[in-house]
Amino acid sequence: MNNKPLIEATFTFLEKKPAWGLVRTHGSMFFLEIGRPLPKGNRKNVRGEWHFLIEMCHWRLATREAILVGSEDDQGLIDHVFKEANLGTLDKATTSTPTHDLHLLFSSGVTLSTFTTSASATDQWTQWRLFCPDDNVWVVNGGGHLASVNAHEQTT
Amino acid sequence: MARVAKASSETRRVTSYSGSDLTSTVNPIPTSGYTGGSGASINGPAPAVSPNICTAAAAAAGAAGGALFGNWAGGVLGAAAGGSVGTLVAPGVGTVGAGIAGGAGGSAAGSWIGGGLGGAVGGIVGNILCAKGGGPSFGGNSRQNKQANDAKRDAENEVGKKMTNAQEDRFHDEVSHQNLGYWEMREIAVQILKGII
Repeated sequence: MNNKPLIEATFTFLEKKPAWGLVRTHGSMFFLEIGRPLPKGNRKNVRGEWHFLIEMCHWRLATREAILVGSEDDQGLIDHVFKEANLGTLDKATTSTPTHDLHLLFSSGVTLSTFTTSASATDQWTQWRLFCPDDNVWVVNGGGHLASVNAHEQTT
Repeated sequence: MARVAKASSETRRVTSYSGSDLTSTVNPIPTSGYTGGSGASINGPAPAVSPNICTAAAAAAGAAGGALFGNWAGGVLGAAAGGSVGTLVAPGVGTVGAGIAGGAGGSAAGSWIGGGLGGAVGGIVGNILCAKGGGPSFGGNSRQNKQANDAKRDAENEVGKKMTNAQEDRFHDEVSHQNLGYWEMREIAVQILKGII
């Protein structure tokens, strides 16, 4: 089943909403928040209404002139750029074939692009997830397959 | 067309790191990498963290290794020397006593000298190994990503069930910015799967 039209419909809800909360978790994996901040609860990091988790893929933040930081950079540089980044609002979100690479364009002119560089990555290597306010999660696995699942549903 | 533009951008970035005259063939891009974007509001120089940390870590490791070796070598040599002296002065009990005393003294001196030498050598090695400073990690981050992923998958095998997406998210929230090792992350994943945290 081709889910691309569905996720692109989802993306329209994110557009023109503030993008913030770039936080590296481990290695080069990180969170990106979209929309209003939610109550923190027992979390360490404040979540937004919409919530990206970028995991087992390469990525870069760039302007039209230069790469700001990428997944191969020193973690100190990643943390520094994440801390200082003022992305603005999310202007446009798209995915591209063949592996649902993610492309986000922010009002600041910064873009976030993800891309996989392996033809043999398994489905256990999730590239990125988008957590939605209704507990739906868009998941792109290592093989580039896109799926929509409930956040609390156990995966098989 | 967009692909070509990306490739060009990547090439320019690589040449900006090389420091060779290849940079003269393309538009110059600051090696700090994030000062040029007109639309981006990211300011300030990159923290020069890695070289100092690398050097200090290598020096500490060298000092520890040197002290350990010096302790052992000094003890053996000190005991041999002490025993010889003891034999000359008072054969029998004197040999043993002087050997023990010599060994203790030799260990202390060897540890001190070995630690100093090891620290100096470690610092030099650290400087060489870390000469590239805060540049690309060339797979280091990917290895850490895989380590975290392995910790989750192995925890799932241990507990006997898969993580939900909410639990995966919780895992990343818990491990964020802590630079944990495999076993610590695996334990966190187990606790999440068991509903403890």
